Amino acid sequence: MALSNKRLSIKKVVFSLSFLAFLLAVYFFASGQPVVSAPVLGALDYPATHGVNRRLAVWMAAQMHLWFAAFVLAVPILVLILEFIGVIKKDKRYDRVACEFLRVSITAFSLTAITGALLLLSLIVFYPQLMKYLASIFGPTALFYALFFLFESATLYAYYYGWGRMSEGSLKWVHLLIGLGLNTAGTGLMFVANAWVTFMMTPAGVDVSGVFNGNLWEAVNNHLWSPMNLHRFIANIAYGGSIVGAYAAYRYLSAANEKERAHYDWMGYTSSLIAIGALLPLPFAGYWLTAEIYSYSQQMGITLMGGVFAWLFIVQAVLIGALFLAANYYLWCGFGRGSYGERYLGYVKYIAFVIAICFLVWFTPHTLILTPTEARALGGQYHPYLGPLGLMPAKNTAVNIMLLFTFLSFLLYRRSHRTPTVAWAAYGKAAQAGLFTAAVINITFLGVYYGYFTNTLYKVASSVPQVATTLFVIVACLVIEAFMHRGAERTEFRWGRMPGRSQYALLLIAVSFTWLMGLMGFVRSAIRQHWHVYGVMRDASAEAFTPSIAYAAKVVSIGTIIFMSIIVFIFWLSSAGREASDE
Amino acid sequence: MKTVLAFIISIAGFGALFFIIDVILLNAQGLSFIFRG
Amino acid sequence: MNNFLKVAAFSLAVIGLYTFYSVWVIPPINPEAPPKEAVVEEPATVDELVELGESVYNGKGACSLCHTAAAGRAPLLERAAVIAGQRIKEPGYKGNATHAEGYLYESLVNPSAYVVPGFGASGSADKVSPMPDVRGSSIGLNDQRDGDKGHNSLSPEHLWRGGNNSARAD
Repeated sequence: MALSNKRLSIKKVVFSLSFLAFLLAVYFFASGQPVVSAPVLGALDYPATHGVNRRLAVWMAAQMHLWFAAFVLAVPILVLILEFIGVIKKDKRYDRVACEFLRVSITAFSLTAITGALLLLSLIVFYPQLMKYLASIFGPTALFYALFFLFESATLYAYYYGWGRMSEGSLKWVHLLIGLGLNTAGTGLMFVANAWVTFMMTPAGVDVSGVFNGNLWEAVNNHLWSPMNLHRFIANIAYGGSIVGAYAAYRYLSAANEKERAHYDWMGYTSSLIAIGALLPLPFAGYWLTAEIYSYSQQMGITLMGGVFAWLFIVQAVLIGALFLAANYYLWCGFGRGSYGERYLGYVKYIAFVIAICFLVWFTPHTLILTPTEARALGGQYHPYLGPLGLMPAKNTAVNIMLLFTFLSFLLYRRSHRTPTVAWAAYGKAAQAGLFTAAVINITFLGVYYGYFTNTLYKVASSVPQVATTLFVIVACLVIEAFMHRGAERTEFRWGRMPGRSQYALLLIAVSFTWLMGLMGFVRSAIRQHWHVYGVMRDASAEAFTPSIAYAAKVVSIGTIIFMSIIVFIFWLSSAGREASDE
Repeated sequence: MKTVLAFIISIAGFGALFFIIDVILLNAQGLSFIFRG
Repeated sequence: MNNFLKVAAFSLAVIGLYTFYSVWVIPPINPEAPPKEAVVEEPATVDELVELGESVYNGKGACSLCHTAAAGRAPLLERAAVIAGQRIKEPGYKGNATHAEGYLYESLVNPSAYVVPGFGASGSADKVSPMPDVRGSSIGLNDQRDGDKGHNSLSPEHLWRGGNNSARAD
């Protein structure tokens, strides 16, 4: 390894140790604190900021950290999966691309730590009383955080630098185990941090004045902890996949020869497969998150979805619709990779039509903002015909059908390179078609009957069988496909023949994902409104007001541009370094 | 012709399965399949 | 370089589109400023009492968020004063109120004492109310007692009348 790499690793060790020392200091400081109620603050209790918008500073630091953290949590998952597939399939291609993913992202780890330290620093500088209060409760968790952090640094070091040396036989399995350790450490870090942030939203283990009852597990395991853990875990995978997909898309567009094009086409497809695969269960994780918000506080739930943030979810709907359309478009372009792909092109317009309709339903609002004159003309707050489409049952129905048809696009894509030869193939396909039809009928029935002819309880409850239907179809179809294609006529996918437009679809996915994360981060924080810890510790600073969606959109956009620029820089650094060592 | 029959039978068959799933999942949440006020 | 510029331009265009949509297309909504601690003057007339109740009902109390026909998640309150008297006579009633006013007060500070059938929190079999104690931090109404008259600003009568006015106005 080049000397510069050794210097880099020494820097990393020094950084890790100092961060560890800092966390231990926090732990020891916090452990000696007496049990206090949450401080009641006034505007003057916040330290002077000399013109810096303290809320904006913390917001930016937090969002940068979360973007980088999502990426560096996702990459080890992707890398481990790909390395594992490579071992099982005995295909070196997977191993090479896994190593490339890791190499390309290594600098991101440092940036995650740097932005995390920045976030911690800005919180302590700008909101010292809040941090003191939180430390009095969560002090001991700093120790866990420090240990996970140390473990992560150690396993990352071993996983990356040991790749070449541990590539064969039983050592390879040890290497995989180290990768598993890396993932565990990263996930542990996230779980600990999630406890802090969810406590601020749905506090537990404290009474109305904020006095902690001493039960740390109760404070950690509050209403939103588990849903947040699940949602962020799955979302990280989707996000990481999309960033790697964007990287591959760019390298594809600027590829020098056919071999490179084929390599990056394959990389783009593989990472997108993981990204979209992880995207599918995400709405349901988000639904659980929202259900727990409602169960903690009806008021918070209604503010989130029916009150001042309702329109934000329309913006979210637009972004998710864009994601689904782009993902489907990428799959349809991919039909050309398989020799039999042309026979499925005819279906594209029908699938596109269904997805477009679902998208329109998905982003139809319920409550319209009208002047009194407009309301009188319309006859109410809601549009007489389109109003019902704004309700949750319509949204749930639309998203389930969108998922089903995206899965259909995927199914057809897989068939574009193989033809079944089993005698019962026609029946198998008929069964799948019947399954899809029955599923769409069931999902629509559940949405319409329970959504519009019963009460609120049913409206919410009917979403569960809707999800179950979608998941059942996906699993059952995959099983039928697997059996049906035993001994099938296969041709190899022809990599490197995708039109340029398809790569822009991958870029759209990555940019949209980043922006969406920023938007959702805003709403997560904003539903606390004027509270530091909801219902327990009031925010009395000058920036306690909840900003408008327009303001948030501008902040998120600036953050997205900064983040994507840094990511591009990281990728450029890694390719420049590679070229230098190749020479 | 036979495939069309297979298609229709599978709609019916899977439809019945979905009906059972619906009933089970609604009952698990304390609700009955038919709404009664 | 050419590719880099095209990709950068595309990304900026996409970000620009989302920003444009969020800033100029969706209706501009400015959330309310954080509430200030309000000092309420003791109402002198019944009308002032009703006005106060109405402002609490629609404002800080956030009652109209759930207690409307469209929401469907809480009992309607137009005839609350009359129905309250009936509720305490219902066989399932296990609370401590002996008259309508007491029932209304109990419903505000201890909603789970009696949950009207069909309006319980999901999965609680109507034993737990989804409504919070209005004195808790999320709503934050004060229980002020006027020593002489025994009135309190949570007086169910003016909340009922104030709420009634709001319900009729819908």
